[in-house]
Order: sequence, then C-alpha cells, then structure tokens
Amino acid sequence: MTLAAETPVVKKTERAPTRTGWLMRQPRAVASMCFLLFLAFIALSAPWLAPYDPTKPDFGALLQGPSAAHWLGTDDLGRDILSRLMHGAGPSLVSAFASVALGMAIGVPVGLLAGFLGGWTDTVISRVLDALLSFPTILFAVGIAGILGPSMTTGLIALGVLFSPQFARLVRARTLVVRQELYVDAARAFGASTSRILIRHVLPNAIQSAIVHAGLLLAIALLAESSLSFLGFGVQPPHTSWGAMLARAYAYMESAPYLMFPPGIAILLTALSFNGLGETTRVLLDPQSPKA
Amino acid sequence: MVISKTSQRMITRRMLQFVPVVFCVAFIAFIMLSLAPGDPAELLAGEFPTEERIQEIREYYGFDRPILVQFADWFGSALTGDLSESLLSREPVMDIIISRFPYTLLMVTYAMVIATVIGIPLGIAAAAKPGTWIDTVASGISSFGVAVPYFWVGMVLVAVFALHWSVFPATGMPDPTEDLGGALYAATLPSIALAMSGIAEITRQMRAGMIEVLTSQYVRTLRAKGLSPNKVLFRHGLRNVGITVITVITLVFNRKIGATVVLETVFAIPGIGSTMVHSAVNKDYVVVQGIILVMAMVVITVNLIADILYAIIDPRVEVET
Repeated sequence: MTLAAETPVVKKTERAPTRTGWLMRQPRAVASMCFLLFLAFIALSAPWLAPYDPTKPDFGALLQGPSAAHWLGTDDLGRDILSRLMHGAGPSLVSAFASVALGMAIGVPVGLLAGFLGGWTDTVISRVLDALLSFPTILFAVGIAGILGPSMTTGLIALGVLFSPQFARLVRARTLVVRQELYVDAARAFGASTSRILIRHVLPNAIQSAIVHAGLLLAIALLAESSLSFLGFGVQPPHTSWGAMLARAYAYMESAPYLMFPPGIAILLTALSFNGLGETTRVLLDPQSPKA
Repeated sequence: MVISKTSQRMITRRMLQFVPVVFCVAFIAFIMLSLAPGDPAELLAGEFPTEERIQEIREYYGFDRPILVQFADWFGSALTGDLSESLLSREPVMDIIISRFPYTLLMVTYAMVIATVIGIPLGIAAAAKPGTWIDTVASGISSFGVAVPYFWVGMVLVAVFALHWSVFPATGMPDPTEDLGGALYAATLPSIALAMSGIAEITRQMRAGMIEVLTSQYVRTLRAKGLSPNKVLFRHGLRNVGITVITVITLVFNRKIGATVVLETVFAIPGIGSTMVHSAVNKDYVVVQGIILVMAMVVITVNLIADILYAIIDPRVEVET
C-alpha cells in the first residue's frame, strides 16, 4: 500500500499554452458545453423542429409507449412527449439562468456596499443576509409563489431573492480583502470618488468569485425550478416545463411508469452539464484551484 | 472539557447575533407574505359576502391595523409560542406545526443517517487512495447525487419498490410518535431519495478534508516516524476533519429541510412540507408565515450549535461575523 500523502493528489498534466487548448482537453467540459449548446438550439427551434403541437390533445393516442409516430410516447391527453420535452427546454433553462442572474444582480451590489462601507451598514446587511440564508429554499419559494399567485415569474423571483445572499456574502468577503490593497489606496490618493473606486477597482476583482458561484448554482436553480413546477407553483399551462411534465407522470405512475423517464433524464443531463461547466469555470477563474 | 477564553468569547458573540437574526427572519417572513395581492378578509368571507361580514373578519384577525402594528403583535405572540390560528381551519398554527414536525424530522434524520453512513466512508476511501477506481466511483456518485432531481429518484423508487415489487408502501406514513417502527419503514424510500445530494456533498467534502490533512507536514512526519498508513488515516486524519464533518452535516441538514416539501408531496406524507404546499395553495398565509418562521428558527439553531461545536473542537476558529 502506498502512502496516501505521497500519492499525487492532483494529476499534473502539462499546462496547455492557451486556455482554449486546456479546455479542449477536458472531456467533461467539452461534453457539457456541447450538450448545453444542443439544448439551447432545441429550445430556440422547438416550434419548427417539434414533430407535433405540444398542447394539442389526441384522444386516439392516450398514454402510448414509444413508437415510430411518437418516439417517446404520448401522455394522458395523447400529447407527444418528445414535442413537449423540446418545448419544455426553454422555460426550464430560462428559469435557471434568470433566477441565478437575479440573485447575482441583487447580491453583488449589496455585498460590495457591505464590504466597502463597513461599520453599521455592514452589520445590518450581514444580519439580513444571515436571516435570508436561514430560509429553507424550496419551502420559502413555495410560500411566496403560492401567496403571490403561482407563475414562472414569481417562482424565479423567489429563488433569485434566496440566492442573492450567497452572492452578497462572497462579494463582501472579497471586497474586504480588495479594499486593503495598495492600488485602491492609490486610486483614492489620486482623488477617485467612492463610486469610481467601487466600480472600476473593487468590482472587477470581487466579481470573479461571484461568476464562479453562479456557474455552480445553475444546477441547483434548475432542480429548484423543476421542484416548483412539479408542485404546480412554477411554469403554468399551457406552457410546459420538465418539472410540470414530471407532475403529470406522477399522476399516471401506475398505468404509464415510463412517462417519468424523458423529463427526469433531461433534468439530470442538464444539471450534470451545468455542473460540468460550472466546475470548468471555477478551475479557469479561481487561481487557487488546481488545474487537474 | 475545558473551553478556552477565546472560545467562550466567540460563543457569547455568536449567541448575541442570534437575536437580531431571529428578528430579521420574522420581519422578512411577515412582510413578504403581507405584500400578497388581495384582501385576506374577502378571501375568507367566501362567496357573495356582505360588507359587514368582511369588516367583521378584518377586525377579528386585525387586518385593519397598520402593517407594523400587525407585525409587532404577531412577533410578540410568536415569542410566547402563539403563532395565531389558521385562516381555514381555525386550528392554532403552533399545534399544526407540532403535530406535523415529527414526520419531517424523521425523514430528514433518516436521510442524514443514510448520507453520513455512505458519504463518510466513501470520502475517506477516496482520499486514502486518490486516483484509483474507488476514487472514480466516489466522484461519479458525487456528480450524480448533486445533479439528479431527488423527487424523480423518489418516483423511480416508488415505481420499482412499491408498485412493481411491493416491498415498501408507495405513499403515506403512520404517526412517528405512535408507531415509530412503522414510520421508519414507510420513510425508507423518501429518505433514500432525500439523501441523494447529501451523499454527494458529504463524500466530496470528506475527500477534500481528508486529503488536506493527509498531505500536511505533520502527517508526513508521523509517517517518517514509522506510523502505519491505517493509524495515520484513522487516528490523525479523522480527528482533524471534525470541522469538515460538522460543516457539511449542517449544510446538508439545512438543504434537506427545504427538500422535504417535494418529497412529502410525492409520498403523501403529512409533514411540514405538504402542509406548506396545502396552505400556500389555499392562501392560508398565517400558516405559511408560521411554518417559514419555525423552520428558519430550526435552521438558525442548528447553525448556532454547529458554531459552538467549532469553537469547542478548535479554539483557533474565528467564526466569520
């Protein structure tokens, strides 16, 4: 048995001369990107590409298994599963991206202010962030979405608000470090205003960790949105999303158990790709992480 | 156990922070849900209400007062354990939560045990032999566990073990306070589904924590002095990842509390989560507020305990303020 400490933890690969070159040698990163690009293409061209109208019932073909006419079968109203899957890709992807973007849009400025101003502002903001972080995500989102009226928008706003303290905390911590840097002192000595220092000097440094975190949050956002849609608090009919498709599959679990596989696997593969991409972003942008 | 001066100071400071955070939690929960469109009194009055009836309901619940007064009143009562009563059933919200919480707690605890029992050994094994097949398996499980929709896993488990083989019940759970054995049996499938991301998270963090310890200078010294790899691994490695274990278990616990909402719906378990869904659908926002407040309190308390444990285990730890 070899000593664990001597075994190289990180497989040292020759660092490629360029980032693109390095990226191309990461099979998971390449696969993730290809899959997400493919998915984006499907989502955008679903109206032309989908073989059937995703909302049109066909009572002659209820709960059918996969066939030549319906590659992935039909649901309880005879609607084509493949077409619904293709049309559901858009709302699922948009919700994931929008909730993370909203979290970032709220969290980054708040974290920047808290870290840069310090003192009472920081104390108050930090306690509010602690409070927001203690709400169990989906529980809170269900409450908000239910009371404000279920829709894709309320769902993603609730998720965005709950994601924002994570960004704010990260950016605050980075800002605390960056504001001690000499170049910030120098900028101030040259008479730069606070807002200029914040936007031109502190923000570019602090935002990197936020971008890395956003990459890692996408999969969580996708799963959270699917959960909300599954419970009926997210995307509303006649639009469809993968979570909503799973809810229908759940209702017909005994008579048509195969219905749960297309949307479930679509969510799984997308989340895996988001994480693959997020992990790659982290390695590329975080100077401390090993390039393994 | 002797607790150092620094640790004591840290614990005190952490306890003092507890108060404003609880206040913020209550305030956010109350304000956000009070922004809801529509008049709850009109909702409660049913179809074709008279103006007097609506006014009566408004006064009964105090909806006619300024929002801050309503908050002060609600929060003041909440501190004494009174969370007002359900708009629909008139049942005290605290009673609802107390009767439903055992189901949720059982599921979360069961899932935590599953995640810990699988995740910790797997993470240690992966760290002990990095780059081998076991490490590959561990990282595969981690990637899968964080990406898979856990409620879909729940559905697949029901299809296989309840509908196809009838080993476990598909839905429902007996009251854990009356029939703990039966409740545990019924909670098996949902808890496995709930444990998915926990297994992933614990495996990943344990591996990272162990590798950090195992590649440190003092472990190298111990090895040089002739200590066997297993002794190093179990005696010194494990002791030094205590912090990692607490951190990840706290994190996983917090996430699980939220995730029960969906799984309780899939498995028709009458816990906090399904009560939340039911109340949200029916716009019973007094119950929604109460549940959000109590669950956030549970999370805050767990975090507080974790922070106190940090201070006791490792006096060098400065908890971020």
